[in-house]
Amino acid sequence: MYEYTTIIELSSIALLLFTAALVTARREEYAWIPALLFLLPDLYVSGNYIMYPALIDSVAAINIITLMLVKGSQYRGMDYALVSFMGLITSYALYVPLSIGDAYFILLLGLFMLVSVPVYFIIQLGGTKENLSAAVKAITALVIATVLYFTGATILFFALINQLGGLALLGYTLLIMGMMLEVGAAPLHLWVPDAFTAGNPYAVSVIASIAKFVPFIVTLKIVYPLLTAMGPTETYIVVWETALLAAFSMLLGNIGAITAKEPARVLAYSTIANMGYIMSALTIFFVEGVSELALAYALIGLLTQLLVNGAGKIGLFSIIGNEKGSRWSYILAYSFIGVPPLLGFWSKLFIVLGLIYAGPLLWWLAVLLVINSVISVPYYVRLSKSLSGTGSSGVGLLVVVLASIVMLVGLAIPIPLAMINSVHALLAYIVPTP
Amino acid sequence: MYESLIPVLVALMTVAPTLLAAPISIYWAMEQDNHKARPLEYLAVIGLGIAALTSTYIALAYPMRTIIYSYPWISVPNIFTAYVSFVVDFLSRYMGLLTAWLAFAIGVYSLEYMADDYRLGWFWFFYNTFAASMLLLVYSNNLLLMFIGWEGLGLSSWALIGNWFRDDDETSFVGKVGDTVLGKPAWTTPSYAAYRAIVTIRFGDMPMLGALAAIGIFGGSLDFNTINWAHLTSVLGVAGTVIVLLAFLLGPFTKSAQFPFNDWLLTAMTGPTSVSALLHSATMVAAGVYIFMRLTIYLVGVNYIGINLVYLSVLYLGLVTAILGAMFATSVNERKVILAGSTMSSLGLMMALTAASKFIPYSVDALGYMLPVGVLVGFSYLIIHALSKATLFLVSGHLIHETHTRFNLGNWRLAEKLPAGFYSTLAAALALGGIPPFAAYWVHSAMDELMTDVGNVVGWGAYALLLLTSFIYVVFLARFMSLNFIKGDDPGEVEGHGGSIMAGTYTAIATAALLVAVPILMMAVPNVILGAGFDPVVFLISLAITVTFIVVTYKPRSASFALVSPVFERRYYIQAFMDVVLAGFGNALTAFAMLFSRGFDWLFNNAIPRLFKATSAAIRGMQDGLIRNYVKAILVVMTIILLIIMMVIMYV
Repeated sequence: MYEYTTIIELSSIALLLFTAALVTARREEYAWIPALLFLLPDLYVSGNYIMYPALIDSVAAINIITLMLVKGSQYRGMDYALVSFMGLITSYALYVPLSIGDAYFILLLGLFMLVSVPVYFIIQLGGTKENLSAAVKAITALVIATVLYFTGATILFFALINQLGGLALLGYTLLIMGMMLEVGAAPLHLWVPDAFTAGNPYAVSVIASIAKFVPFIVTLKIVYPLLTAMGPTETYIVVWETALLAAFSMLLGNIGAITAKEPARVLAYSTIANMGYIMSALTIFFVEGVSELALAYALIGLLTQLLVNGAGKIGLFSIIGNEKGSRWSYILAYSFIGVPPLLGFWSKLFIVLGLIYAGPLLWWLAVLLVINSVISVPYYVRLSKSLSGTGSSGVGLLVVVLASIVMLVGLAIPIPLAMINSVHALLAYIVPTP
Repeated sequence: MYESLIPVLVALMTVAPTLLAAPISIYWAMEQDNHKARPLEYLAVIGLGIAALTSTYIALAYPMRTIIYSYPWISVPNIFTAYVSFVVDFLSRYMGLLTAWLAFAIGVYSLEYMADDYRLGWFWFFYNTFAASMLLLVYSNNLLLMFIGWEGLGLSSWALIGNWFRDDDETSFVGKVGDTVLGKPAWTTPSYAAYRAIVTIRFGDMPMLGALAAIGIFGGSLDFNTINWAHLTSVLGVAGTVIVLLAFLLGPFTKSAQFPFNDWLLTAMTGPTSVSALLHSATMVAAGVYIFMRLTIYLVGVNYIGINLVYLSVLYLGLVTAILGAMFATSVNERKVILAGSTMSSLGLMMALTAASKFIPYSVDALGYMLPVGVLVGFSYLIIHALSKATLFLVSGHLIHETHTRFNLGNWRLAEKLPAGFYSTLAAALALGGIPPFAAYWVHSAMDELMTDVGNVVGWGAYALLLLTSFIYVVFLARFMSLNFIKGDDPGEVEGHGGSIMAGTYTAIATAALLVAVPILMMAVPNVILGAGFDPVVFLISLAITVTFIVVTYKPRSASFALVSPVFERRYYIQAFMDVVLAGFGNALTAFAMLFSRGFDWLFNNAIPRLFKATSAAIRGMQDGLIRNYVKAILVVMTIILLIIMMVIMYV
């Protein structure tokens, strides 16, 4: 979609210009206006596909509003622009046309980097010593992650062009480890609890939400087309590797959260667990000969779970940042548990359905996912109680309410059903049409 | 025309008592006023009267032949059909007559005996239900229909034994309070006695039901008169036949208190005296014997080693029960428990006599019906026993009311205060003991004759047991009479007023017991009963029995016998066995099951939470805050995973 690339480019440039202008004029506090405004052009797509950019933009928009609450932001003005930019790139990531050329490949890696770098800045917001120590841990991990990812992707690409099965596996392993380190999935999760606890809650909420989309989307777009060139044995090993790592992440995240005391730490482990759920959705794509129905559920599950994770983390971290508590914590926490008819239930349902329809190979993972939901109940309930209260007000309350509205979308049952219908169109951007 | 009338009459006999007992039951559920409930009690007794009149009509008006009414009931096409089937023959018409009139008479007795009871609704409902069930059983020709009546008997028995469920009146207990055996209480309360009764009977009912099914399948029919025993024995073989018959007979064994299933009967004395008189002496416990007699009529002609083996064992079992019951009755000091022991003894005799008919090849003509001789003698004994024992029980009830104790108490002064009671006791003892020229003398002679006839086939042990039992029987009859009316302890102040309905009832029954000798002596052709009494050997034995009776009346207590009596008092330790050994087995099972339960508890309350906690702490323990350690960890993890993948690649 040549036009779409232009739209994104133009929006980015406009965003940069307007933000720079406002910063020069010392009116940084209004920089959220161009940020929100230039987020909107990426919705210029034909009817069927609008669900995805809408989803991304809602997360990015709430993130921008959240950033208003950061006191002592050392990058005031630029922080809004960076988040908006991340939103634009994320919307674009899915629409990159499928191909096997090196241009496609480099573009995707570039997109990965373009989302990773703003995080380096955003994590520093707040400026306290604590925030900066968290930032150091996060940046170190993210840099190593990017390196691993690039190395792995390159090896994978080379191996598959030259039909070297074993090398392809090696490349995939490095790639997936890079991805895991980037998003914070176990066993490469050690930076997450410290970063989430020590960082500024609002800043953490940004990296816990919008920054998690691109690694998964890009991985899908790189690996999936190349999978067809891999033999069945390699595909089988890829599936098992990803599934086992997903299971490990789920379990570690949920069990670790059970005895964690500070809310931010609990949310860190919750993120680790959620990354496990999303990796399970990823696994479905790699199963040999999987049905289109399973793929549809996998994609919608992946996207919705990312949305739920994002909105939930924004809401809960904002409550932590307010230090005043909010009644909406219950909605957010219970959506994480997966209580119907909140959105968190639907996202997990889609992933489970995808795992089941993918065949007996992954049924154990579906069962494990459900068991993990059960394991997560005590700490979410505990969290919702400890974050409950009536003190929030103003923009802080607005953010929490917006996040809760996202969760409550699940109540209007037609909406999840509409999502299932439109995802089939989205699949065209990942699965090559025969 | 007689056939078609039967279902109407049977319905009348079963429905009338139950329906007419409903008003008082419903009333009592709402209000418990003994005075206001009186008319409703009369109504219930009228229901019993209707049943009595109906049975009289059947006994008198029906011709002297076997009349069977049959109607299809449960029908599975081409596979099986069960019939609603009733029979009017010798056994059913006279047993029905006995049951219905006894029920009526004792019902009249209960009007006064239970006048101040706190549970009238319960009592009358189950009393009448009992009568209805018994009558259904008596007239039923179909095993399944009979079984319905059978179960009704068990239910009513449980309900009535436990009538005084509050366990608050020591007079209703059995055994001495405070006595223990092997650490468990040796006294029984009404609620516990009811439980023991129903559990024992149930234990026998279940195999009986199974055997019923087997008979239905292999015998081709569930009606007594159409069961194909030849086919059943040929299909099942010796072992199978023995098993099926014994399983079926377990019902009668438990219900008629044969050893070792007799203990429930002895503790069933916690129920009201009316209940003891009707159920546990005359009718319900006789139901098992009755069914056995009915079965024998048809089995007598089937000569098969399996059946003969079973009958042999029943013969000896009955005689052993008889002697054990008699010995027990001589040792205890509670009025009703003595009588319960004696009932057990008599039931054993009845079973043995019926079993003996299998080994005597001829039948006699009784009023037009051809009956095996053992059945005739056994049935005659049943009638005499029912009337006599009921009398004795009713007198005991009156004595308990007057002396306020269930233990033997009373001397000549009491006899003067309660002349009707003394007369009735003496009459019953004479009628039952075997003293010439009263009824039991002739029947005992016939018994003697029977056992002599089968001696060659079954062994002389049978005759020896019978003789011993006859002697011990009169001992306790004499002891009972003596310790309550002649040589017992002084009862102190006795009210002596009221009780005229009670006295009237038992006097009537006692007189009937004496008079029943006449028809019994006249009915058989050839007259085996009358003929047996003229044997000189038998006459000498009966003289010895009479002498024993008189001696014991004068000297009812014996110091030397008192030394061995504790064994009998403990009822051969059957209750101890049940309460300690069987219960211990149950306890062991429970403890074993608890192991699993505790295991689960430990797993879910202890092991799993601790596991989760420890793992969680370990996971969080990895966060030591030092970034260099995190980077090291990343390197380690990478290396491990890459190594695993390389190994997988090489393997594949």
